[in-house]
Amino acid sequence: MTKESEQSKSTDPKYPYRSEKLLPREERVVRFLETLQEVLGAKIYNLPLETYLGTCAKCNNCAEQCQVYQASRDPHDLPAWRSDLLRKVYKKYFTTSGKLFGGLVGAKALTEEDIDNMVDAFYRCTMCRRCGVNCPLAVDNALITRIGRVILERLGFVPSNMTVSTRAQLGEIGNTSAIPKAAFIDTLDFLEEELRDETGIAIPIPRDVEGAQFFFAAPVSDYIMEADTLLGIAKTFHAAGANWTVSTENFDAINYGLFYSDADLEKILNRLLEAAHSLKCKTIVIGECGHSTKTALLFQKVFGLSEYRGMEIKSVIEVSHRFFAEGKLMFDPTKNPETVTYHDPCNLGRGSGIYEQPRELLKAAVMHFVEMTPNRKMNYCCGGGGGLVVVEDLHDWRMSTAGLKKVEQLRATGAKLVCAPCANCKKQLRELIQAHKLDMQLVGLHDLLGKAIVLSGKT
Amino acid sequence: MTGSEFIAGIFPYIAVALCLLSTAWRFVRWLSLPPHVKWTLYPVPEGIAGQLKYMLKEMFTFETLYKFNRRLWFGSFSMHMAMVGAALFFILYLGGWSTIFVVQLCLLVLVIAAIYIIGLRIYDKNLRLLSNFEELFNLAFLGGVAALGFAASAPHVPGSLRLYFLGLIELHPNTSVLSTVHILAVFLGGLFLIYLPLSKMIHYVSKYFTYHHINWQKK
Amino acid sequence: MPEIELAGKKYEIDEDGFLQELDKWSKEFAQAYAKNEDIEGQLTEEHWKIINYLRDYFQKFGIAPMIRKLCKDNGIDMKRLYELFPTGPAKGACKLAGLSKPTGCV
Ligand code: SF4
Ligand code: SF4
Repeated sequence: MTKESEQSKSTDPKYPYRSEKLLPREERVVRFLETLQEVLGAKIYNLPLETYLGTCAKCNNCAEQCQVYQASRDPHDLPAWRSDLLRKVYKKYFTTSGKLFGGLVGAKALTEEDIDNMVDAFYRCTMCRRCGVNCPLAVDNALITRIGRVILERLGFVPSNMTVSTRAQLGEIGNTSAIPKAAFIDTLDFLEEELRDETGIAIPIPRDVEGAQFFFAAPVSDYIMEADTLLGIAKTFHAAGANWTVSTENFDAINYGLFYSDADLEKILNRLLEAAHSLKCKTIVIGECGHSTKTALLFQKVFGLSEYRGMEIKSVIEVSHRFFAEGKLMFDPTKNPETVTYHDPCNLGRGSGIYEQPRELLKAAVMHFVEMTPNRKMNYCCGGGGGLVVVEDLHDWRMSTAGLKKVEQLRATGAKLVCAPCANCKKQLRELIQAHKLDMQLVGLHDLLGKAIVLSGKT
Repeated sequence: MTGSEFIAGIFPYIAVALCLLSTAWRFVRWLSLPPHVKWTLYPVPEGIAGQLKYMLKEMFTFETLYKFNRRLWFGSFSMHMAMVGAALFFILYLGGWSTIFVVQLCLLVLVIAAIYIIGLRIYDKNLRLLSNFEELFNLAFLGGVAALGFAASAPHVPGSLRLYFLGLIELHPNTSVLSTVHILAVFLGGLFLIYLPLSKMIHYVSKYFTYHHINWQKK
Repeated sequence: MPEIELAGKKYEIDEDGFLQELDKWSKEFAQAYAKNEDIEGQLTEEHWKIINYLRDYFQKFGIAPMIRKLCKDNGIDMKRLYELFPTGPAKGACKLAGLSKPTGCV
């Protein structure tokens, strides 16, 4: 038995979440430093890392932006304090001033306890980037969190909920929810039946269509949880007369690599790009999902194989909005009489710049729309960002702390429906609504569009 | 050459040269790093005009701090403005205007602001947790330079001081006119110039990159 | 691997309480486990219908069905489903049916 497997299945009560395999304690410091060196050697993060780690003014402006700190008031949730965990190490081993002056300039030799602190801290940041909006120096603590997690992963620290899902995705089954192909096809058949029952017309969900313009990939959990979202998307494509397809080989857009590993991110991303490429599709349309949209948009040109770099990547929200702007979609808002509010998923808003399109669509498709305050670039994270929503061990913390600001915000709207076009947000908001007994329901954007859409004379 | 002749006659050139060189070095270093992962923070201000407007507004109001950290804003804003003010009005003074009293005022503000921020960093529990020696040292250094500068120019500025600086600019400084406190002020000021770009206060350069090359990266 | 003792029998479960082997499942397991999932008293006809449906589907496809399909095929709505299984379909119902833990964003 190797040392690693002896230590596998950590249930060490000190750690807030379970990881599958931990490096023995005494090997962690060395591996940590090696990995940090590797990250710096790869160069793609040097500019942000050097500027972020080198110049943060410790003004603490970020504290009042962070929904986690605002709920916990725990100094260990101060964004700058968390980032300092990595900053200290970086300074100590990779800067001249840190080597010369040590603690005087905030450098500190890494210990196993420091790593313990990071294991906790970097999974108490939802990587929402709200704190970046009002940082006078434009430091982004979320990227530091991400780098911290990438390093921790190499020590074995990564919630097993993420690694188990990623393994399913990169393995034979090919998706994070481990849905076999036959089950997927059965689900598509079922959805087509639903479409026929609802609309009275045959609306197909085209499969493996070579040369289709749009290659559609949803966060795969939608095929278990979000029938209405998928029905709405199928109706939208149909109404716009679009030539689209799903792949029965790879239908999962999720990429948890964003939350803990560049290596996994790269593999998952290329799987997706390859699936679209092999069907000769020009545009990849990502379903209602923030992190996978952002991952594909941000990393395509960095990690995507060169032959995949020409493909266009769009959120389904942008695509539907384009159809709408071109006059291809008609809505009957009386089908959605309840008051609806909109939650800006961090990765769609701050991360991808999608703010106005969903609002314009909603205003056309529902009777009463109210804004949440604050909104857009200042919207609060649902509390489940950064992949934390899938970490069962963090459920109670997500309900009591990370999502608290969101609950206050939701309550203040008085809306009956909260629309959040992101699989992560959907799960977290549903759980928040249940845990805090809010008198509202969660819906996806295309759920509402699908209800209101006018299809060839029928509604 | 005596020590004070060196400090007043040669050292200022060395300090300015090192300051410019280090600043340039850090700028070029960051400029030369390969394009990293796109990590835009939306919304990006529209066009060059929009970005310029955002930057100028932030630079001259410190709006982000003003909105969320008013206590620190009082100190930080006045400190930065006083720095700019001191430099600006000193240049005007050298140009023949009688603005030295504004310079003195700015230096005084600088001293008070530095003390105020040091106090706040010690008093406020969270700021204390985040601050290390470096933050306090930088403030004390800046405050010290300002204090010496003030002492060297108050209550009356001898006309010779202006001639010394004009001489510096024309490359033949007359160091004999300076008193000890003048020489000390020049020395400390020079040290600060050398230190500035090497310290984390390089944010006057890094800001360009964090905004333009990261947050506002379009492609 | 944690174990749970229900009605005098030991079962291997994972850390989240999901039964590790589908074929170890028994009606007693489901009944005895119900209380853990906030279901009071005896499982009703309606519960069994769902549980059996889930097991059949799982046997055939290796995964739980889309929730909408579960509801539709059993003639109930989401609200009723949550009344029957207060901890939710993905957790409560699948757990009682002895299915493996759903992964990903569900
Ligand atoms: S707001 Fe920015 S500069 Fe200020 S402490 Fe936070 S990260 Fe550092
Ligand atoms: S990214 Fe979000 S969760 Fe993380 S520190 Fe910033 S505001 Fe807090």
